[in-house]
Amino acid sequence: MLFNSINFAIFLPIVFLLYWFVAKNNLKFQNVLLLVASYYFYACWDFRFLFLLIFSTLLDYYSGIKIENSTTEKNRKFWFWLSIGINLGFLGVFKYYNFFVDSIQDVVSVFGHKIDMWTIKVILPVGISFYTFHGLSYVIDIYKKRIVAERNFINYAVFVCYFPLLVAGPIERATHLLPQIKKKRTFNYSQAVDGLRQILWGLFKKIVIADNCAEYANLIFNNSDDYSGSTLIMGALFFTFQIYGDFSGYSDIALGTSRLFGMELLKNFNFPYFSRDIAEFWRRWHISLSSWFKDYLYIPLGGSVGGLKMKIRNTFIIFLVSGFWHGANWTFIVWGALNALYFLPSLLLNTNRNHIEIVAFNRNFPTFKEFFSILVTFGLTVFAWIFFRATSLSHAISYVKGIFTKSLISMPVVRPSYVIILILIFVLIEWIGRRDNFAIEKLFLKKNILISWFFYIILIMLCFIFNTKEQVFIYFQF
Amino acid sequence: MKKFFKTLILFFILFFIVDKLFYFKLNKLPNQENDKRLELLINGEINKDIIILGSSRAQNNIFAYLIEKKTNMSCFNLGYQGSNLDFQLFVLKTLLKYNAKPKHLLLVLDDEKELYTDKSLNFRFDRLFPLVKYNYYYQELIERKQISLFANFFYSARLNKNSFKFLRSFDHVDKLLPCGSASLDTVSPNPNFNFIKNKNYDEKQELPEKLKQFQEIQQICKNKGIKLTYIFPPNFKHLNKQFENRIDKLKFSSTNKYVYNKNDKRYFEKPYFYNESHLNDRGAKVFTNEIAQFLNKNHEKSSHYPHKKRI
Repeated sequence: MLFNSINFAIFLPIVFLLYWFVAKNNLKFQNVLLLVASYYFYACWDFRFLFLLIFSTLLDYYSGIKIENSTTEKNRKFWFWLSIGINLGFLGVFKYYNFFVDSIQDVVSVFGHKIDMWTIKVILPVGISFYTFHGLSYVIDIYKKRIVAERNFINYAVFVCYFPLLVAGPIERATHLLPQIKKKRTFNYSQAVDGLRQILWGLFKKIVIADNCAEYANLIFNNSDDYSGSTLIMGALFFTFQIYGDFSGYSDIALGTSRLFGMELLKNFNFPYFSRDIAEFWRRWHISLSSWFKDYLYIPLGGSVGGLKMKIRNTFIIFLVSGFWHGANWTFIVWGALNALYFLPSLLLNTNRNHIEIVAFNRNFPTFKEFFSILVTFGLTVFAWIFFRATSLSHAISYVKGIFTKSLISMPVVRPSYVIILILIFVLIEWIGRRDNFAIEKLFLKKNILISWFFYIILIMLCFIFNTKEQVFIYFQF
Repeated sequence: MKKFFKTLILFFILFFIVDKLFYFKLNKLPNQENDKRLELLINGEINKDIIILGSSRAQNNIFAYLIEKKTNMSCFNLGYQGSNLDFQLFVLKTLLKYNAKPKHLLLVLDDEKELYTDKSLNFRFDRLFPLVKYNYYYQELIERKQISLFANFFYSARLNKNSFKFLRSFDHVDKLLPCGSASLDTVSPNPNFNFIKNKNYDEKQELPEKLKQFQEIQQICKNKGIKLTYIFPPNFKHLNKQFENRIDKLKFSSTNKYVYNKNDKRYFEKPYFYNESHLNDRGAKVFTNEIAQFLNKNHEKSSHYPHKKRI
């Protein structure tokens, strides 16, 4: 069930009404309802993988209690590693097995040998990377004694499977979401209206920006050999806005939906394309994943406490793992490595925390220096996205080679004016609303209510008019 | 909660009112179109003895007015450039739903492309989008997932980005004649085309859904008592015999076949072609005369329907 589908438009109001009218003052009933709705939501993709999800939930729930109850360190370690091993094992089999097999076969063939290893035909269970990371963080936190194990299975299961975040995040933490699940929730008018507003903005980003950019990004990337350098740049730009509109749009819908049920999810995007350096970009892009890697990988590895070598090593590890998390393809690993390289100068010069606040916080426009920094950071990001989008490393390399030819200085062949205008309007709205949680959170609210309502009506109609064929969210494949 | 629902209802009412303004836009859309054949079709204004179906080879290679003149039967061309069998089947179904059935149906084949996957032949959604004021057409678009189910409730959901192209550029296929055929009397943008060599026909490349549609057209004609004739038009190449044999295999006994006169040397001369796969006006007149002769020889001449209003 896609967030931008008619099915979800029916599903959401039904769950909402049952939640606030039937289960209203009963927290237990509300949570049971959320769990059933979440399982139904997931089963709509492929009901067979629902059993995997339930198994994974039971495993982490039980392991958490066992770790906490263990009287000996040996027992604690046993349950901890059992949970980690099985979780990563599932991820490894479903997501990475064929990649490793193919890579080993490729390496062996370089030395003139041939080995036959089994590859398996598997469908990747949707959201496996997300819910596995939920479970992992929960078990690690209990093992590290940061939290206590949740004894109520329903509460824990809702934490893992809560439908707004189940298939593509944000990757939640037990410390943030579990207390909200356990707390009695009452309907909050402004929270709900804010939620609807955020859903609308998410839909606009997905349907109007991402899907329309996708049409041209796909056209150019799928036929990259036929296009001039300038057109290839357009393709990379279209993909840059596609992936942002797609993923941040999904996150906005998830956050907005959750607000309708009285729960706040972690913010996942914070206007990343206005970043002035790569360090700032990574504090604003897929925040829940970046902070997950920081807390559960970077810091345990020593973080930036050790010497320079340690810092560089850890930075590369975190970016390479982050790339690999996205998919079993060398293109993602190179994408991660590129970002690590981009990150390195600010790490070495200790300037990686120079830009914490959003650009031009107290002003309408950035300074020339800020504007230039934004452009450079954006350019580097666009370049890295080429590797992310390409189907293989050779495709990415030929794409990049195709850009740097004489045809770079020519009029792009593909330049759909309506998409370019939509992107410009989108960037403008994002710029205006950059200080808020999402771009239209407070837009026009200080004016007459009718103005803001007409603005929302225009957004809805744009979603209708620029609706292309229903497209799956990019991050569902991860 | 009350306040929340009150706000939602008020917002919905406002949205509903604004949406209704798009009624005027929907009604204006067909007027912006040069090709009004699908609108005539749904309004039941195409009651002809002979209907021509197919892609651009149908639209450009056969002049319906010439057939009328030579056979004394009314004729209309419903060929659409770049259309696939699926679209042609849809046009046929629409024709039969809203108009009297024709006596003859001439289905012009696209050579190998007819049953293969081919990017140049598609379901012409762009022809349907301007006609979303008609329930029948927008329901088809919903069914084919081109517009959302919301189109059932909101006018604005029936629109798409192409609805806002205020000026349509005219090209050669827009030179529609009142009989539905399109004239190719211009110079080809690529006049240096060469005689094409035939490739082996590969049945493995045939799409099952296209085969199904191919058979469905035959079945409909058989059930309705329409005389179906497959037309093999000339291309700037020899006829692909393997493809012809394949069609013979798929053809019902009730279906006729007409292959262009392979001995006519004009079909080997460039001045009769617009490009390698389309005749120009001169060539189309030669070919149309052939078809008229074929119809005169093989079918009764009496006309079912008088020459009614034409575009």
